[in-house]
Amino acid sequence: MAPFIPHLVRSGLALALSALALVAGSGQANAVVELNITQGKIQPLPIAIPDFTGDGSIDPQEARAISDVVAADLSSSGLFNPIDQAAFIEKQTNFDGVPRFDDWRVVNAQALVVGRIGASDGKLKAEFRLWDVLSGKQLAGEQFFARAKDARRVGHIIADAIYERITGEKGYFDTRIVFVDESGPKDKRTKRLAIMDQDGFNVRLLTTGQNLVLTPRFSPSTQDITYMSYEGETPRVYLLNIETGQKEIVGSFPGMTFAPRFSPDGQRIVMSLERDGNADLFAMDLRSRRTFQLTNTEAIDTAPCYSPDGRQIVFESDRDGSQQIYVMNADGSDQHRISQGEGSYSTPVWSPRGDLIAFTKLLRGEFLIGVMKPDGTGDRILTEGFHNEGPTWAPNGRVLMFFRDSPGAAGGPKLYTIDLTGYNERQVATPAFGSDPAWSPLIN
Amino acid sequence: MGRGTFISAALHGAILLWVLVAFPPSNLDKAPLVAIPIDLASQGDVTKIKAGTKDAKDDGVLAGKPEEKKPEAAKEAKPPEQTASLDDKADDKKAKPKDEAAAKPDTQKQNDKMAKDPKQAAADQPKKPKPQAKKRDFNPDKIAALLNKIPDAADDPKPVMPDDGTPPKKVKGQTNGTEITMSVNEIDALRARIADCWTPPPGGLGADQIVVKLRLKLNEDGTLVGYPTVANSGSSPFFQAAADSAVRAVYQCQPYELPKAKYALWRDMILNFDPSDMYRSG
Repeated sequence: MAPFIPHLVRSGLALALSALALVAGSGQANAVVELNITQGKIQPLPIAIPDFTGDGSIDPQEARAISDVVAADLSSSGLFNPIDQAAFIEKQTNFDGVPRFDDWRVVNAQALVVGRIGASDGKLKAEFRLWDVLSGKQLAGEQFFARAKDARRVGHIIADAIYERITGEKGYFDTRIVFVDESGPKDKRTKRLAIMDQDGFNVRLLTTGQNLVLTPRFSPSTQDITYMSYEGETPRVYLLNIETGQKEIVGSFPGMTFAPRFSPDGQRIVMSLERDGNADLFAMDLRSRRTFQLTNTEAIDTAPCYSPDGRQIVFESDRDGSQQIYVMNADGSDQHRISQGEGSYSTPVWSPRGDLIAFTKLLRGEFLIGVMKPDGTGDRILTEGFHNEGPTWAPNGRVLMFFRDSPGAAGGPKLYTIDLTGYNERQVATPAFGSDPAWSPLIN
Repeated sequence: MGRGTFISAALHGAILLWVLVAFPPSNLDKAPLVAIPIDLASQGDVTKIKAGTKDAKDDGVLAGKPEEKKPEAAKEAKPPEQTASLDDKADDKKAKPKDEAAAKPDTQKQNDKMAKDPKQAAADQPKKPKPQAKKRDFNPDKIAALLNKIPDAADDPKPVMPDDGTPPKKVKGQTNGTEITMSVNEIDALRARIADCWTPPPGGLGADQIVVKLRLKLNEDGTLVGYPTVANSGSSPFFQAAADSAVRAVYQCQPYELPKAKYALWRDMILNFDPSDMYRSG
């Protein structure tokens, strides 16, 4: 026992000593002022995009058209604010030289994009540089070749590169939208499948309009879509490659209301099939065409969608009385409800980055679009209104497209985008009415 | 009553006797009260930043100064020594110095070396209560150096300030300087100004974990000296985007309006840009 007391004393001393050492240490570290900056301003980045120049081999108008695409893309994201060219002191910048940053600082630009377009061997040669105006540093610079008809795509690719460098997140401009083009009077609509660039350009029709088409769905990894087509009373599911135009029938499924969705690898589809008044979920291997039953309840289980890692499936079910959102493992095990809020929830769609699930919510007679985390927390509404439906994610998981219907004889559905902040809502131009959008992955 | 008092006195006496037997004074004397040189730091020493004088000796690490190599070795050598001497049983006292000398010749050498270091010695000399053992050469400044060395990212090769061509100033803002402090208001104003210039990237999955440590030097007129340096690193594209946004913020904010009399305090700053709160609320 005797040695114990001094030992204790010394332990205490050791503690005191180390505490003092820390104190002394922090005193020294403070020799330099150190501040934590935890607040900033959320605002679009002012970016200067002077007209791209031609290298003499093409019409300068073509070069300018590409910089216009870049500016429009960046502006539509809500994260960039392209500065009005009228304010520019230096109208065009020598592509090979260092820009006069002082001139760009005066117009409050923080980033500057310069580009040069030329033609070589019948191809388009595109070069661009992204400069940080304040530090005078080049942030990005690329050169690539494209087919002459892909001039707009060149603009989208450059916009994606700038977006990625400034935000740290993948872009989504070089993508396409498949949607249902609706024309004619409200009670007798012609519905055709159409495809366009994400900004509403280059619209092409994929079906003739003889049969009613519904709910196209993109494969997350390929340029394939599935969609439903009614020929008579029975809906058929088609698989269509939008590059080659090759089309095949997956099968006929009575009572189906949504087209199947792909697994992340594009090898399987998951769908809801109705039998004896209730609907259950099934997965189908696209190669073997074998189906596997995933749920078996008295209720209506529908609208299934894979998580981006392919391990889970989110779906809607009325097994608890009203439509709610459930999550289960990809083999059908561990089914559990995640939506807990007021109202009923439907059409869940898992974000490509995995952190959120978008849904349509029916609350007090309105259809709202919102998101929640996969565990059901963080439920929030992004957009409200009379009738919003059919959310689909941009491949970077930051923007959603959906359609909004309007009442009245002249009313009809239109496509909109909204980002995760809920502030940046924009209408997407379509030739006529449009519904059921499906966002493609990035085109490679 | 009288009896009770007597019993009480007897028992107290017995306890006292027992204590004397059980804990003989000689035993207590043997306790190896190892002399530990401690600089008593008042609260002010810790919380107040002091401005230096032009002819002051440099007594510690300071921004822009090339890092000394030694603390790297000292880091390994020092802790074992302290634990050994502090945990020793009283009975081992006599054997101890020998053991320790045998066990840690390197440590000994290392500490001797440190003690001889003129820069360190200057801060070390005063107030050693009992300079009993050379090896007890405890030096709070070295601890400071060690703490300063803890890297922010494993693969970050220590934020040494780049040589930006400005002549080194003779101001040494250290412990022996004139005491001045940045007031809370001044700090808040500076923080608010930078926050106003800073547009963090919109974030993304995992982006809320990112903190950018930016080191900047300022001229007396509040403009930046050279480029600010990012003193930590990260592999994610979000880090690069966040670091760029922080650099843009400090460029855009200049010149900084700060009290000239306190230039020694703000000529060299570290700013930690941490947007996690913003992402959470968004």
